[in-house]
Amino acid sequence: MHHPLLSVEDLSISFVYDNNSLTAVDNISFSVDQEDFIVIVGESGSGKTLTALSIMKLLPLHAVCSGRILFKGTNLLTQKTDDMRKIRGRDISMVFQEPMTSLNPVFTIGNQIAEVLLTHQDITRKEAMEKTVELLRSVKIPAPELRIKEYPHQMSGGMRQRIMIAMAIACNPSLIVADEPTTALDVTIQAQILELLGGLKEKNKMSLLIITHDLGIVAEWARNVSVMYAGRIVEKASVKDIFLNPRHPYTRGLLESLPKRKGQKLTPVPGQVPKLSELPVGCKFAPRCRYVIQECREKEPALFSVGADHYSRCIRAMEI
Amino acid sequence: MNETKETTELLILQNVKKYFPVKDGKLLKAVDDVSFVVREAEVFGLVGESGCGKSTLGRLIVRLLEPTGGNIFFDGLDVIKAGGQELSRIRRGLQIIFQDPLASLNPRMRILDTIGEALVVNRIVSRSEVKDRVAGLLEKVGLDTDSFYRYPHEFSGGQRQRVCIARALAVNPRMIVADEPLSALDVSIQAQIINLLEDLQKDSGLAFVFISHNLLVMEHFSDNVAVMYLGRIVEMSATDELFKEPLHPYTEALLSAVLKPEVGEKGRRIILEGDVPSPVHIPSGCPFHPRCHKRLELCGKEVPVFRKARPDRWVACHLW
Repeated sequence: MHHPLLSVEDLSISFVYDNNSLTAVDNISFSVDQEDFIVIVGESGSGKTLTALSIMKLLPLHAVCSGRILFKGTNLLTQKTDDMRKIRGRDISMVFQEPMTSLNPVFTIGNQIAEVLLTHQDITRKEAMEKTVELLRSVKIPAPELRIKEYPHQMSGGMRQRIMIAMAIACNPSLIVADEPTTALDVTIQAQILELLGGLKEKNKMSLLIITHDLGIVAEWARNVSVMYAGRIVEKASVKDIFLNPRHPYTRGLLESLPKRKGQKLTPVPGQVPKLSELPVGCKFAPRCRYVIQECREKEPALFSVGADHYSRCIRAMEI
Repeated sequence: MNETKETTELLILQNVKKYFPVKDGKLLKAVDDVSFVVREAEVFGLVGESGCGKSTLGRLIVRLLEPTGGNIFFDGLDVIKAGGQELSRIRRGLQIIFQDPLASLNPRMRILDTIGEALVVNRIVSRSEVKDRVAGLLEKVGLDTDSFYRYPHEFSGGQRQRVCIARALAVNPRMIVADEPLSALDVSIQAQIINLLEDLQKDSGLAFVFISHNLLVMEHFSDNVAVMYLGRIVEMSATDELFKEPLHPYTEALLSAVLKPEVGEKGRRIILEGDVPSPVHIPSGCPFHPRCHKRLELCGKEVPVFRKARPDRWVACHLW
């Protein structure tokens, strides 16, 4: 039987306050295979970052999680804190959006990367430092022997993100979760970082799960894409189907919002993402949807199959 | 750059410089020797990576910063030397909107007061007419009068940017400097704001200096574009020409680095080596030469002159 590397099943994340419960992520499922490249795309407030954090078990303490996150057959959601610590950095690592806030400003780069190695592997400090130099070289940082003695503030944004990646790949994990890894970077540096991640994925035979709002990243790199809106996956398909044959009005709206050549008017999605506390009853996208019919406002459609490995949450999926 | 004088030159920059003193008596050359002309109803784009000086230049144009050298003329008036009456005349004609709308709105002022203040201070209408006028401005940017008594925090990011645009429009300006007005917004909202700016440009003949790092947006919205690198303009041309055939190797690399949201578009990419150097230590010769994939021996020694390479196309590169 086929076993994916990571399988997220019916994951929900909610927050309880004042006897009220807000569901930020609602019943999502997706899987990542060995050496896979999966992208979750969504705008702010879609629940994509919470999804990433739940895989690492880094959610805020008051978040209530249900469902299962199976990694190589083990449910991460029921792991004890100590056991989870062993998995983080060794089997699954994470790269965050803002490298400056994810690095400790008072330790040298070398110290911070070596810490990962010393935590998970039975090696001496000296060996760890040698390995660190090698890691920096593999993420293409010039003069790594000198760089290990430097502090995060001495580096540019692109270099810091390389440091984060070096840290993430230190123990050869089978999965890297990257949350908006290029958003804080300049265009030319974005391309460098993505080429680097793509190359390392091939070389180290890892899987990548990238969370982003940038459809450009999706188009060039992903194998499979999940589009999130208001805490739900509204469409899931191969990258080709997402772009050439979108079957959800929101996906379509995102694609049409992108700037085109001069003179061509854009078709924006009207309105804005609803607040979690004010989600409509039926389809959550209905108030902004131009294909809306009465039925959409009454009952929320489930994610259903609209083609080979292609799922949509729109009752009019086949008409649009 | 166009020699025909059909439309009036609205904004003229001549050899504008802005140097900031840093420690050890060194100078940070944020903007160095920048000249260009923006005509009535034209959208002039300034594009470049972070630290290239594009935002500093935007601030110099509206005199939020005083230049170290050079001349800036708006509608025949000397922006740098103007004072009193003349300066307020310039400010009525030339407005600015910023990247982060929340940071540019007073959190303790209601929308009616925020926009109304601009009207009263500039004596556009009498106090009794303020309400009507603000209602008209809000309508123009797609907000309704419900917003009158609301505070900035009660709006979404896209709506706040609309408020900022309404405030800029209050004085009936002829030109708006828009400094990354879309960067803080989600993709679906970006398209709404681009359409709004476009409508304003077409309906009221507003001119724009549009500052952005987003090349897809630039291609869509601007008529002419200048590419900046380390405080200097390296290439300037009509937007469609520049995107069709970039002349400067930096422009070429910048365009090739864009992650295009189209499947199967994994085009040939010029990956630039290293990062943008610090503007305190600008490399000798052509500032781009250490990262250039087409550099000649001459490039490290001699600063290339910004010259006309073809009709209406300007470039600072020894290859042209």
